[in-house]
Amino acid sequence: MKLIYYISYLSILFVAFIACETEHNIPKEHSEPKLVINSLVGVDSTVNVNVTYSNPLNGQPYSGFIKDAEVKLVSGTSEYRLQFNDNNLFTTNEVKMEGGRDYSLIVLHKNEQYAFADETVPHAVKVLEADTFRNDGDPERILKVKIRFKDNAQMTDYYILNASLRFTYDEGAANEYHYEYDIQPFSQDPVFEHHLIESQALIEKNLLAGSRVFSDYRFNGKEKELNFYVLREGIWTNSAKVDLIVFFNTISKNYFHYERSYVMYNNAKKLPFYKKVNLYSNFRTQFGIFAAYSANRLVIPLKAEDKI
Amino acid sequence: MRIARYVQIIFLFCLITKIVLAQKDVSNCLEQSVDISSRTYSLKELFEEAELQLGIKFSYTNKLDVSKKVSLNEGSASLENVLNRIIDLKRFKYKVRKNKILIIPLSEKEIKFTIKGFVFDAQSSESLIGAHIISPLSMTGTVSNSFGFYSITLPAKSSLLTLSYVGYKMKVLNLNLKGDTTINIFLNREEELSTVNVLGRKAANMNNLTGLSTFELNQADINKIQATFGEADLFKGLQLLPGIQANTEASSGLVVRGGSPDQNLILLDDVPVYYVGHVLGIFSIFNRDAINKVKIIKGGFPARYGGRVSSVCDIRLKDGDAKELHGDFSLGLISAQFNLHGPIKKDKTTFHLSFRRTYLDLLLGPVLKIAKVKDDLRYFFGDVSFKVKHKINPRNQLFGSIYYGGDKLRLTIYDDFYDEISGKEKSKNKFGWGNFTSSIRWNKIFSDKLFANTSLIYSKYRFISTDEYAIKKNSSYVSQYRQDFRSGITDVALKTDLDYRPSPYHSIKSGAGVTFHEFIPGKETYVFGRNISRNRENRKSYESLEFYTYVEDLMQITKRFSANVGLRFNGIKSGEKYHLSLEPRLMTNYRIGKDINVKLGYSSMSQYLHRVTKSILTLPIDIWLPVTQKIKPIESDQLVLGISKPFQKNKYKVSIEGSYKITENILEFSQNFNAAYYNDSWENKVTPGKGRYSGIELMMQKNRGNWTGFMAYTLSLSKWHFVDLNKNQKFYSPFDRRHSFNINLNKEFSKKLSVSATWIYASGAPTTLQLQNIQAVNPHATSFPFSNLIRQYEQRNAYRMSPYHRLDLGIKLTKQKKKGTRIWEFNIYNAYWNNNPLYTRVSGNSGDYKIKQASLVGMIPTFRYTYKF
Repeated sequence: MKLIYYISYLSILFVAFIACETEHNIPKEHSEPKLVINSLVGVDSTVNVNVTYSNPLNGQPYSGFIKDAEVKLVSGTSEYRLQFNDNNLFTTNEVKMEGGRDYSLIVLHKNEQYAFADETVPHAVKVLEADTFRNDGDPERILKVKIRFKDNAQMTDYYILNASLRFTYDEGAANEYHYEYDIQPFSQDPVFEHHLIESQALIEKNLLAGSRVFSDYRFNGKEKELNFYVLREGIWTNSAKVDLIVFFNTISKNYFHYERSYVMYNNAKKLPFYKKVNLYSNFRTQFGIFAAYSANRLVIPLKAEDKI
Repeated sequence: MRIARYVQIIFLFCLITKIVLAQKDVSNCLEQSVDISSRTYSLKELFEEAELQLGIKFSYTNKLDVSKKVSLNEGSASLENVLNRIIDLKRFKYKVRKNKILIIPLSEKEIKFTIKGFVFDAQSSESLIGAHIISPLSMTGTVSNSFGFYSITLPAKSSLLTLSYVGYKMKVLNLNLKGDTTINIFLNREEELSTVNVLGRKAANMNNLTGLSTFELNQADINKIQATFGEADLFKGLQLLPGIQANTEASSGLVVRGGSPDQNLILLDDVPVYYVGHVLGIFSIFNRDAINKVKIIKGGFPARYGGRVSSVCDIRLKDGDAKELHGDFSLGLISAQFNLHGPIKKDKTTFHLSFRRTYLDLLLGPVLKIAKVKDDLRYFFGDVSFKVKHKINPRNQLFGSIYYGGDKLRLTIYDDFYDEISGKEKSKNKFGWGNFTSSIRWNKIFSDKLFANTSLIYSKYRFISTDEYAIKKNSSYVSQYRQDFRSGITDVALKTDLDYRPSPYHSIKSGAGVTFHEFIPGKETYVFGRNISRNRENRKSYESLEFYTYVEDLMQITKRFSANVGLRFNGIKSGEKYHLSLEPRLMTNYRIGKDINVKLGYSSMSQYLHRVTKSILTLPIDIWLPVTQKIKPIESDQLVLGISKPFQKNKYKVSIEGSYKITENILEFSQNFNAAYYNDSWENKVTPGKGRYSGIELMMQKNRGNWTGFMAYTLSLSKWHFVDLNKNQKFYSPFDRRHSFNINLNKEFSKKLSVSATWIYASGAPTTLQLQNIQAVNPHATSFPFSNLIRQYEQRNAYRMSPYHRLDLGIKLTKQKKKGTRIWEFNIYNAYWNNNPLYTRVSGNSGDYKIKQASLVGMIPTFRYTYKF
């Protein structure tokens, strides 16, 4: 009897709160494709620019890369024309990005579509120490990492922290191979403003959960020790040499904006009630990003006790 | 706009000055000073002293007792001041003729007395707010205030006083006035809705001003509100009125003339309430059975109201029956309610206790167990309100009221810890939000014409969330981390309001108040392993001091023309910064012919609080923040023009109103607010904009007869403009609805059976659709840099969802039992199951994209059983 009552009650509630979806066609209004330019450029690296068109959902789908665009990189009085290569990117070997310099990227396609963005390339910082550690009382499932570095006092710096695990299988000198995948760093360090804590909250109070960028406004010009951790459950093998690769890059303000909008977009799309988010773009009338970074790739070999 | 405002203020000042000067002829003779030594004089001696000092002559009627002794303080005073103090102006008047002052008796017509008192329900002694007290002979009238108090000054010859209140039998008092008197009036309820005395209303033109963009709901109206999900919700009823809409499907948030829900001042017994919804806004927090009267003002705001820019919803709770203990309980689909009210000391002290709680959590637990679901989900909301009224003596009353209500959601998820062998993990999330309000109010009748109310208010709103993660070791779970978050507002306020009725043609209200606000945008604590990490910077609270003073005069200028002219001075101190504003208010009413009223209103309003939201719903996680050095207050100017006409002795009423509103400094998150630091000042994350609303509202009512009901239609346009958003182009506000049409019908077949039907229609709401796919680079990728396709939008709110419409049906069965009344209510919400849109999303694959419109609810049959004793 109890069960019948409960089932009846829940049935009414189910009818009451069942979410229905109805389908409608995309509005007929014409929507023009726009240029989409993607270029994340590193110091001392060649410039690679990816140029595509956006696909309006109500229009003809456009696929593939634009090969016939005119792409120019300007720095001071120097101008470099980028060529389309086999990797579907516009690139040039004539110039490599230099820290502290200003660059402009200009894209023109068929004299119809035009895009323009400016960027200042950040300087690298010197990493003084990078290592893993564990303290007594730390939860079993975590492996802590510390990075000590000296911030640049002369400018506002922005940083990004990415990480991956690299497994090296050695089956004889001629048969060594690697396997690498990205992992999620977590941190309670105040610089991350609690975006990198593990949280399973139903309603995300913070749309920036998962953001890996930070600014030096708390420690500008000082030596800083940054602590974060990774989950040990990913480090499961004894049959391979495992390295933790930390990408601790200095990034530009445009990069900082872009990363945060990227995180916010991905968080908001899970929450249909939330207002729609667009990616940050420094191309004023088109989509895309032209942003620079200075890479610091730190390889930390993991010890046996680091694995779970 | 600022210049326009100053011009308006100067205009109003000139108008007030002219009115004042026109009513009083100040003679130079009366302005001369008389030196008085401190002693007791007879009137004759005083006249002689004044003649000696000022070289004037007194001539007086023999009815004046010149041997009467008067005591005056030593010093210098104007002759006018002295005469006003020594002469009984209720029986005599003085005139200046060159160098002579004549003191003559008032004619019978000129002798006036003041009647004051309270208006009560005869059965329960509950105060009746907004009752019409009218003297048909003298063509004057007044309305009882928020405590049921009235004061009216009438010619001594007045023989009749009519008292009326919707739903109550009209009472006619035969008067034989000999002096000022107190009459407490008890009105009896009647079966059929009464008509407010049309003749009296016509005469008392001042009373018509209360109708400009204003609706009042008494107990009878509130009882007619149909249930949604088994709960008869006050705000759902208000959403049917013209110019008022729901924020989203099933939401209790009010969108008044294009203003967002946070722009409504919701007063619960004078206490501002910040978050007014349960279940993410589906139900309002107000228990209908505890409400005495509701007044909602959409425009033409009297100066006594301020602090929000879109509307005022003034809710008054019941005081409790002064004679007998009564109560009721009811059971619905998701909640139970209980009300108890009565005298603590008969006719002296009363109480009203109200309690409501959902039992979803009590039922869900066992159901999940039966279904062998190991996870646990619990949710409930509840309210309790308690009010005490104590009559100290006929001139003093004390009120104390407390409200506490909130929602609590708990979810515990048990899972294997990445593989079954390694162990188990548990994550537990708790969310809670709610209001606590309390107030002590003191009513004092200082004189027959002066009523005062002083309130001390404390209120608190809190949102709390906890997120805990634990791993099972041996047989118990060991916490790995715990995160606590809390935000909220605390207010402490003190205010005084004076209600002064010096003559039948003036009703002056004035007052002042101060509120201390403490805002906590977010306070976080993390416990990680054994370490506690506090986010110290983010614990910062914002404190501000808000203050105001106002004066308004509701005046009858001619028999056909009346006006309410007011001025409000507002200010807030936030940090070291002061924001001040002067707000002129004007409402006029001109009667054409017998009963056509043409009304014009202008209001200037300021709001010192902003609510910033990331979602399209009204959620408890939205944060309230004060204005700062950088962020200015929201300011609005609204002009309303309306016309109304009753037919067949108020059986039918038609009104039409047009309004135009400009709102400045509304806030949205800026395009790149994500790049501001979390601990940054919030003002770096938002950008100000401007809103414009224009609308025409039509309301047709049938107030009496077997069939009653109304039809409301609104045609409106609401647009926003933000320099930093949408490429500096105007866009439709999220609250824009071109057409809105509601019709409500009630039929009473007998005392036992009544039915109701409501049909609601609104044009589709604007929505932002991301209709461009782009290839974007992944900033986190260390190897493959490109993400999946990402959807982008070009224009905000450029598309419309489907129109909203639904039909609600209700049937009410009432039966008198031996010891009370039993009521069964059956309702069907959305009877023809229209899938009304709540939000949209785009889905599909290349070449086959569709817009998916999600609906929250379909058809919902509900019931409620109530027993009143």
